[in-house]
Amino acid sequence: MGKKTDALLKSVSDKSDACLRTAGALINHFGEWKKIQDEWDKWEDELARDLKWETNHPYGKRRIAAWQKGIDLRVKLKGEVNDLNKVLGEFRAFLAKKEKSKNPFKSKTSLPGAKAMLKSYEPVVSEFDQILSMSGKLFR
Amino acid sequence: MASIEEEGKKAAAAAKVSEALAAKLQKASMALKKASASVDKTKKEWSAESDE
Repeated sequence: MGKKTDALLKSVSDKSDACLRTAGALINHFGEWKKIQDEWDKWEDELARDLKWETNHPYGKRRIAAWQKGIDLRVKLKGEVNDLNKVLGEFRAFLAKKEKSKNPFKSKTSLPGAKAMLKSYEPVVSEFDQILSMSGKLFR
Repeated sequence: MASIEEEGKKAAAAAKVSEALAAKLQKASMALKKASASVDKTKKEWSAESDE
């Protein structure tokens, strides 16, 4: 395999792994965030007595810290999804250029395989974008 | 700052949204794992190809 092809495919693989790691952390964090929100009723009476409960009450402090962590994870995943999308675009462009070259492919399976790979990423990237957009209502 | 009642309503809504998003992200991650596995297949198929 050529160096460029190898580097592009390695980059797709590495960027996918990065997205998966951060997505896993964000999934766990959604669970934590839900638990914190579910605790609201337990503290509501105490919070009502302090106008600055967000900064004074332990629950308020925990809530703020979790909210900030959610923002950070969301921003991180957004960047990683953008990076993945970018390298997929580079591979797509590389493939298109190679298709037009005089001596394109040695194996008949190379082009359909690569196109199928790119196609399998399309709904995934779109789904991640949608989830990130929706999570902006929670963490922004 | 929002009133305590408003915050309570927001908390209940946020809990529901968090649960739904966790499920959606879990599903999307599974699809990404699958797509990522296809990269290894492509690497094998491209072993004989050059960059040119």
